[in-house]
Order: sequence, then C-alpha cells, then structure tokens
Amino acid sequence: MRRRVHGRLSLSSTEGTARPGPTAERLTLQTLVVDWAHNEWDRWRKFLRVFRKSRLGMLGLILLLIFVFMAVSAPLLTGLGLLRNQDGRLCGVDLHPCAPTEANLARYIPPNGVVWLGTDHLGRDIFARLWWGTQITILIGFLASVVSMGLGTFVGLVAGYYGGWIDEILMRITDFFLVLPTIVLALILVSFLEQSGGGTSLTVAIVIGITLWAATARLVRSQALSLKQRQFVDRARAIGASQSRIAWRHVFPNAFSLVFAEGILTIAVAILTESFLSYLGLGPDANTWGKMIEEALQHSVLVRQLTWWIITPGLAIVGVVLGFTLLGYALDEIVNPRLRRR
Amino acid sequence: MSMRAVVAKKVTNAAITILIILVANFILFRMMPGNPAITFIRTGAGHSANPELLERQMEIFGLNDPVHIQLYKYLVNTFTGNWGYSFFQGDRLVTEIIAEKTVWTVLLVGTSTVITIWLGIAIGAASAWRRGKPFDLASLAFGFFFYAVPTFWLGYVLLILFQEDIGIIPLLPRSHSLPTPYPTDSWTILVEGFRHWILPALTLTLVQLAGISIIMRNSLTDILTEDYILTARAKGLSDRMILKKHAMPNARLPMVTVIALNLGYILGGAIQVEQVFSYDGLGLLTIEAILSQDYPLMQAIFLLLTISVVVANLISDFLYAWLDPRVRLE
Repeated sequence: MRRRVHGRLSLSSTEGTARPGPTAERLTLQTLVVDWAHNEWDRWRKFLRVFRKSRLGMLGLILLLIFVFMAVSAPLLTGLGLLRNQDGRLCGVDLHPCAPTEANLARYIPPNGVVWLGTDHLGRDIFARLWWGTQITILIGFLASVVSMGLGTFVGLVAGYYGGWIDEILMRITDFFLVLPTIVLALILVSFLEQSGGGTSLTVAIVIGITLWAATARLVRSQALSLKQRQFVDRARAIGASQSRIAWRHVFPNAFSLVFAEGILTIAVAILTESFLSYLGLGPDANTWGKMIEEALQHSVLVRQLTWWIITPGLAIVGVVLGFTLLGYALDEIVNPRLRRR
Repeated sequence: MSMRAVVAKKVTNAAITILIILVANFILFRMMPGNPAITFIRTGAGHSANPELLERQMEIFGLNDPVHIQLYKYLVNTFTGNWGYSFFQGDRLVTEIIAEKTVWTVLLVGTSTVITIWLGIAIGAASAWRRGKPFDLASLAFGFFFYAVPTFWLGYVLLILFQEDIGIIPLLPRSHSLPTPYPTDSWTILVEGFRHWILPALTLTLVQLAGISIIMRNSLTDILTEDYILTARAKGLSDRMILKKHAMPNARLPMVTVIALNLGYILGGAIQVEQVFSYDGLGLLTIEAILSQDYPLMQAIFLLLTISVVVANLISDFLYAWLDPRVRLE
C-alpha cells in the first residue's frame, strides 16, 4: 500500500496525476520504492511552484534561513575565533578575555568597534550572547511546537475518527484549553516548576506545548471527520484494515501537511510565550533572548541608558517570530483547502 | 436540528466546559508542589505571618478533609461566592481585591479594544480596497511586525521613546506616583489618570491592531470577489456606495467572533502590559499572586478569566447568528 497518495500538498486532482497503483504482478519492493519516490518528487515540485509565488512566504523563509545560520554557526564561528563565547568575560580598557574572578571586569560598556553591542553586567559580550542565544530560543520554540502538535494530533484524531462520547469528552476538554488565556496557564504551570527547583529548557518547552495544543486538536478533528467519509477509507475498511490502522495509516498522513503548517505557526507563539516567562524570571535556565531582556531590566537599563541591551534581543525575537509566522501563513494558504484563494 | 435544540446544545456545552474549568481549578491547585500551609508560614515570616488566617483558610477549603469532601466544599463555596482570603494581600477577601482591580483592567482593555476594532476595520478595509498597492503593503508590513512583537518588550520600547523626550509619561508605577497630597479637583485626577493610561493603552492597541486589520483585510478581499459586488457595480453604484452598503456590512461580521475568540489572548496581553507599566489591575494582580504563591487569589482569578471567556464565546455565537441572517446555528 503506498503512502499518502491522497496527500493535501498536491494541488490538482491527486487521482489523475498519481501513477497507477502497483498491481499484483508488479508488486516488488523496487517498484514500490520507485513509485513512492516519484509521487513524492511530483508533489514536492508542485508545492515549490506554488510556494515560490508567495512573496510573504519567501520573505519568511529568508528570515528563518538567516536565524538558522546564526544558530548553526555559533559554535563554528567561536571555534574560528570570529565570535566570542557567550559566557566569556571581558576585562580592562582593552577588553581582553579574562577570568570571572578578575577585579577590573568591563561592565556596561557602550557599543564600540570591539564589542558591537557593548557588554552586560558581568562583562560579557552582548553581541556574542545574542548570536549564541538563537540556538536555544529556536530549540525551545521547536520542542514546544512538537509537544503541542503531538498532543493536538492525537486528541483530534481520536476524537474525529472514533466519534461518539469519546469525541464529546475530548472536545469539551479541548474547549477548556482553547478558552484558557494560555499565558495564565503557562505562568501557573511554570511556577510549579519554579518551586521544585526551576525549569530546564525541556520542562519549560513541555509546559508551553501543553498550553498550545487545543487549536490543532480542533483542526485535526475536522480533517479526520471529512477524511473518514472519503472512498479510500472505505476501501481500506473493505479489505479488512482495523480501526486504529485506518486512523493512523490512512487518515493521519493525509492530515499531516495541515498539522505541519500549524506547527510552524505554533513555534512563533511558543517563542513569544517563552520570552514573556523568561522576562518574569520564570523561564528556562538557559541564555534565551527573553532571558537577556530580563537581565537587562534587572540591571536598570532604563536608568543607565543601556537601551541597545534591551532593544536588540527584542528585535531578534521579532525577526524569528515574523519568519515563522510568514512561512506558516504561506504554507497554510497552500495546504489548507479552506483558505485557498480563488 | 431545531433552533431551540441548537441553543440548548450550545448552552449545555458551555456549561460542561465551565464544569471542567471548576474541576481543573480544584485539581490544579492541589497538585502544587509543597503544602500551601508550609509555604505560607515560611514566606509569611517576611510578610505578616498569620497562622490564624491560614487556619481560617484551611477550614474554608477543608484542606484537612478527604478529597471528595474537599471537592464538595470547594464547589459549594464557589457557587456561594465564598472564595476565601488572600494569603498576602493584607488578609482581605479575594472577591473584594478582585473587584477593586477589575475596574482598572476593564478600563484599559475596554478602551483599547474599542479603539482597536474601530481602527482595525478602517485600516483593513482601506487595505483590501487598495489590494497590492503601497498602502496595502505598508499596512501588511505594519500588521505582521506588530503581530510578531513581544507585548512586554513593545511596552519598554515605548517607555524608552516617550519618557525622556516628551516628559508626559510617568516612569514610576501608577500607584506610587500619585501626586501628594492626593488631588481633589476632578481636572487633575482626569489628567493624572490619562497620563497613566495612555502608554499601556497604546501598547495594547498596537499589538491587537495587527491581527484585527489583517483579518478584516482578508474578509473584505474575499467579499469583493462575490457576485453581488459585481451586480452592484453593474448597477452603476459608486465605489464608495459599494464599499459602504454592500461590502462592509458583511465584512464586519466575522469581527464579532474574532473578538470573542481572542479574549483570552487580549487578557494575556493585558497581563504583560500591566506588568511593564505597573498598571494596578487584574493582570498585575495575577502575576503578584503567582509569584507569591497566593493560592486562593490565583484560583479565583483563574476561574474568573476562564469563565468570562466561555461566556463571551457563547454570546458571540448567538450574536453572530442574530446579526447575520444567512448563518444558522449548527
């Protein structure tokens, strides 16, 4: 059985463009693989053709590529000596690297040719911290989104496919999470973490994921409801596939592209949530951009006029959130039949 | 389904959601690590440690009883308005504190939401009408930028921009910077109130405006491709009339749902804004309650916020059906 023949990403009628299914005499591993690869390649080309037309989507992609480059290149550039280490301290008038115990730490230095964004309260290079912070900020957003998509897909699929009282119960729980101001729930859950010794990047990401899955569950449920009426599900049932096999192998793959677009959008929301939690001091114990803003405020940027220290991490957040949002919207317009423009 | 059955179904669903909220509220705050009693006494050393108050609290919540009795007591207390005492806010009744702060939040959120809707509809409509033109692109860029901005950070940026140069914005918290002696003439009070309201409201408006104007733009863009717009044009109506009489009334409709669905998000924004500007409302109270582990207060705020969103959504469903005769509740 080929996978995802009826996928959402293909834009014209899938039945027409897909190659004829493997017949009994052709059913070898080789034909299956070739067939599958051909279909995937076809879908991908069609997708690219449409995506390239979306100017906002391309802008988002370019923004994201820049941030992904920053995230990946941080250790490399540091290894090459082009970037300082995020925790390295600077001392003296000449701003040489030194041990944290040294007396003449170069604290609160305004931006200049050596430290482009100045130094913070511990004499660390703010530019280097900003560059390094890309990694963990995006990672937390990504993890939160994975948790949220996983939960949302599971709940939505079970509710939509099985229906009946299971659906009723799951949807009422989903409603509950949908109406909840997510920031309030995240705050409460994170304060639990705080009392048991502070959150790590992973636990904070999980908490954020738990607050964001409800919309996805709704989406997947409605998709599952319409998919289970489709012919190929009937056919699968006719050849004796079990309920759960149909749900996971036939309905889920077809809803996947929608979930993917939703997941990209959720990364943006998760990064915003993380930055607010970090700003309140309830964030993960990592150097995220939100944490940088918190540190800046802790050391009275407003009074000391150290505005670049608070402005730059904020702009970085805006950039990365913008990237994910634009890309997510563009993908959603392509894969979501409800939004497809005439 | 008949109309009556649909209404009954909607109301039942909302009621079930509220019930889940009640139970979740009960479970959530009993899952908290550590005993509130111990937390209270430990933290209480610095504050006004009051074992007597804690005892009263334990009694109200029945924290010494078996779980099912606790749940029963909790539900009874919730419905009878017996929501307990705040641990840290001077031993006051939770309901009393909340009522006092809600006024300020409603003032902030209400005014900025009204401004947002008004401006958002105007910008979105202008944008859709000039689709692809410079104005449209500019308003889209503006919209997406503010959509991506962390609310609290925007607050600080505005603070930096305005406090120094213009000098009309007080840097200190609202509650702390009241002039002494407290002004008695209403003009001074009005001016002072305005000075403390303007920046938080501006922040909240900018953040919300983005989403509203983009949704309005897309809604109107879709409607402009409808056949009845073509008909109106064929009749020889002016652009202005088409927009005013045929397109806008329909494009405005989805706003009802958008506002209700976004209420949770708006409240989240209000929490951030109030924290930044130390605006003495419900949002600041929420953060204070969470940071000081003031359980009775947290529980009450959580309950109020969630129920208000459920009720707002229910109302918007009916309002929408009433406003748009094409829509039947389903």
